[in-house]
Amino acid sequence: MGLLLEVRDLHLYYRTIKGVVQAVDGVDLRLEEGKVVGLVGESGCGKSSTANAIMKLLPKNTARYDGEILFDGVNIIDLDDEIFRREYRWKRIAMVFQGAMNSLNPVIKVGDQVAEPLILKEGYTRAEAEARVKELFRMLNLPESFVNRYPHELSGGMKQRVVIAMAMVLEPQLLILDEPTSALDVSVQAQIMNLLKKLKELKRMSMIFITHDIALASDLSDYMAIMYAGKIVEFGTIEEVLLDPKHPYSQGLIAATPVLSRDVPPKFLPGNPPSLINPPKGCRFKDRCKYRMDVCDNEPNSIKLSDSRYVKCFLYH
Amino acid sequence: MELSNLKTYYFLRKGLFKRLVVRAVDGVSLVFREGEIVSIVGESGCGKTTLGKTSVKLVEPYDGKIVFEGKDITRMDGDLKWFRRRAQIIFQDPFQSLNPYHSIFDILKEPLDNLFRGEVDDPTEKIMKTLEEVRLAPPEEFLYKYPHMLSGGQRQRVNIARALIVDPKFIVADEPVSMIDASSRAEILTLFREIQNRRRTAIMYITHDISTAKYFSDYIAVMYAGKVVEYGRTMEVIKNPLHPYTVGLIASVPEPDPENRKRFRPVIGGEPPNPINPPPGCRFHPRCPKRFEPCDKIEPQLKEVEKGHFVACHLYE
Ligand SMILES: Nc1ncnc2c1ncn2[C@@H]1O[C@H](COP(=O)(O)OP(=O)(O)OP(=O)(O)O)[C@@H](O)[C@H]1O
Ligand SMILES: [Mg+2]
Repeated sequence: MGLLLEVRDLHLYYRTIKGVVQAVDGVDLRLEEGKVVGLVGESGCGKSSTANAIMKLLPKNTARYDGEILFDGVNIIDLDDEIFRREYRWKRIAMVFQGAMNSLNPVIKVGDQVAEPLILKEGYTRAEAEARVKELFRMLNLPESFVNRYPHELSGGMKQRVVIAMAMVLEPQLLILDEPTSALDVSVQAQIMNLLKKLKELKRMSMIFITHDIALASDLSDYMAIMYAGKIVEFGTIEEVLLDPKHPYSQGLIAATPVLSRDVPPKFLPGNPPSLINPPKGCRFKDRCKYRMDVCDNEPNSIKLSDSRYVKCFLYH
Repeated sequence: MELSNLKTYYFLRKGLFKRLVVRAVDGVSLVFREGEIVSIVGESGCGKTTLGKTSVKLVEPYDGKIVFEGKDITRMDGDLKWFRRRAQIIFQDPFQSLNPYHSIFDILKEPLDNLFRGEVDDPTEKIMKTLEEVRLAPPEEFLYKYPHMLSGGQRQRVNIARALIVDPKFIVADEPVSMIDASSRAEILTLFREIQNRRRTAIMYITHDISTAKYFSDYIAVMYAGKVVEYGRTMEVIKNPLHPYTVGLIASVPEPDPENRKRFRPVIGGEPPNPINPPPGCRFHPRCPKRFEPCDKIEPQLKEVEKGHFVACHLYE
């Protein structure tokens, strides 16, 4: 199975009045064709920033953006913006933004919103584009006739399907989904998860599935990346990370997740994540960690524990 | 507190002559006893927040009865102070429910001033004690802070302290942890449970998340489209759900399990109905996998099917 994406030592910092925010700080990720990686972490840990960095959608106040993003062997960080815009963004790498279903254009029919890139970028005729959009709607369990509806005429779950259609319309090889279900009811969330599973199988699409909910991530992901304060502290197959978490933060996060089918009450992790402006030196989790050692004031290296797994923690140095 | 056949309707004007009725809560009967937590579980629009607001008299009921400590308070509006000292509500959003221009001291002093003018000997001491009780310690360190200086979890503790400071007998907690990071949720809920055990408060815990309800409540009432469809002891409802909606809801909850990605989830199709136009008969029937003859015509009543376990479903008649 070919490697599709390899991210190495990725940084994305923002300039603010209070100082520089180290939102993405040396992130490594890898993803094969047809596989899904769950990017899991708490609010503000840098998940969306990582996604934006891969999409090369950088805000004006970007203070640092470097590292390597090898997509199909090409380092897209070095790529000319014009070429990236024309040949990669949306076409080969697409994203469903956090909260996107609430930013659909209210005065344009959803079918037209989905068809737009086909007509503008790919030179489809209106009729061709409409046929393609209808086919996509069918695949997403949306009635074809909904192409003529306006966003306000759709329920939350329907709107979420529309924004997924918008990201998929150019058949990207990599789809980034940023919290695609967090605004939905649990029953509707379960429908969307089933749909994403179907797409993964049918289209053999690679996905980065971003969520704060580790249980939800396990619904779809083959790999899991646990992010804490701008860093991926543990990466591995879903079996490795869920069944035998190595990083104390991964362990804490899993223990804090309530599970309906088991009778172990959730345990909490005391404390809060550090600020990403002037974060503490060394391991960023050390202040909440029950295994804290003196050496934790240094920066932990990425320790390889298996072919598929690495962890950043001095317990394994 | 005893709610009998409580109905809360919102009347919306549409055009000149048309009036729309939103039947947000449509005939709910529930009992809240000292020292017990009852979870109200349901999806968006099922009426759970309206039920909470009605029971603390922030919203007027349209019909039905609210009896508190033996007094019928349904239409009481003159001497609300008596009731406000005994019944408090905590809202979902720790970021919006605190006045950003008030210090923690001001925020906690306000209910004392409003409800106990002059009756509390030493308000500062009472405030310090309450801060300690919600583990914002040492309290001196928090007294003169402003909400923006606190983390989400700390802000939610201030919210809890604001409710506790009047020593209420009954608290409505409306999604108190849904905006809080997973690793800290259990901490807030555990704290809540401890305080509640010590003070013997009756609590209505409103949530969309049945897995937190499992660890946090004595009873669960599942709401759908303005009605309670199932009620019983927490473990009984979770281990032995009777209503097809409860069954589907439980099946929709993601669990951290690497096997999940290999199977599709049994899901409830469709989405919760619009409370303006709920379906006839059983309101769940259009989504119900088990619907039969009477379901679209006759509205099922809540009945005791097993000891202490109530369900409103024709399957059990
Ligand atoms: N354009 C920006 N300028 C300055 N700071 C930013 C900007 N965008 C994000 N941040 C900060 O960067 C950090 C990481 O934010 P990011 O949105 O990537 O986190 P996240 O993991 O996606 O969080 P959530 O789960 O809440 O969506 C946060 O501290 C955030 O406040
Ligand atoms: Mg985000």
